Amino acid sequence: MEYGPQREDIMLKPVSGKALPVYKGEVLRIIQVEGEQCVDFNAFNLHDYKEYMSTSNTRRAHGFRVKQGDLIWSVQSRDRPMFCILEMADTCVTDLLGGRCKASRHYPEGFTPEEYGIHTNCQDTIAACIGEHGLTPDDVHDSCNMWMNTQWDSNGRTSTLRNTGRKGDYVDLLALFDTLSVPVICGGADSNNFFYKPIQIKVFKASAETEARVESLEQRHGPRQRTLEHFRVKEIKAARELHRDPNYVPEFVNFPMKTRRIAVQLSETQYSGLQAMKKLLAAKDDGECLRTAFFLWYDRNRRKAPLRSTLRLI
Amino acid sequence: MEQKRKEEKKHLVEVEFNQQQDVYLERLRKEGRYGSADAEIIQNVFQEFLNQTQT
Repeated sequence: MEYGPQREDIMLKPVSGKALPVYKGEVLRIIQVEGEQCVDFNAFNLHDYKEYMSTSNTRRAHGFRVKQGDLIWSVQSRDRPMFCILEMADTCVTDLLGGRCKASRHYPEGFTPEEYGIHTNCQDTIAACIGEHGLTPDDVHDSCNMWMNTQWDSNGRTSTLRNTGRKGDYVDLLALFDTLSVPVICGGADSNNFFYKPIQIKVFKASAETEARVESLEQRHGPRQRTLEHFRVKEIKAARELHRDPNYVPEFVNFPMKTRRIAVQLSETQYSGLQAMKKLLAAKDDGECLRTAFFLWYDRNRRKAPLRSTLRLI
Repeated sequence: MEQKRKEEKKHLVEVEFNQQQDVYLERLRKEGRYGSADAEIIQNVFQEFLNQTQT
């Protein structure tokens, strides 16, 4: 894909970062200058910072590790693709589970304000970057981690493997709307092979091809998007203290949920099958088992996008 | 004969669906393959699920 002319070229020194606008149709390139450096990434809607990148919404769409061709999504309240990953080096192992490192992780080694001073960490690096735009440390959110070679075992425990990033490797992110993008050099220790390296950032202006890709993705995913107009409470709180509104009545979706009972006649053979299935599913009664069987069948045979549920009979 | 009588025995199972789950019944009703009454659709779907999972 052909990009527009380069308009930014920034060398990030260890352990810094930069919050920079990347406009709709533009491409943000994140480059390994020496290799083996983890990059934490935050992003906000440039015109409404309450819409920000969501790692959970992204991993719901693409799994724990985003890769080339995947989308990076905004928070569930808006549910909008923010970036399309146009290019991603094979060595760029991504991580949407680790969140970001923070100073307190290093307190046990004496990196406290009182003893050796705090250790570098992504929470504080991102906070330092976004402060330029009036955002607070509370606005830092979980990162899309690039070149973060983590793994998990079947018990959910995480561990970090050697960073495999190579000199010159890069990731290209196409902005699907105007963003404040925040790539930072990870200030942790093990995820960078115990030494910090610089990262280069470039921004390319929009081209006819990038704009066409944005338009195509907007058409595909636009209808699911929610805007402020859909919100009952629209104003952003300015005060920090929370106070209850005694007159507020929540409007839950489809509440109260209506249910009805349907009497289903089963043959002896069908009923025997239901009893066997009840044991497999650990269903509490015949009705629950029959309903579960109905929806397992529906999921398998009719649903366009199967549920992620691991509830399976076979 | 005894076996046949056993086969003819019917069991009534009450299943609870919510308003959102009704949509799936309605969709299958329109499809026409599984019958028109809710109970009939559920029974036929269950039979098909048994066939799929027991083979």
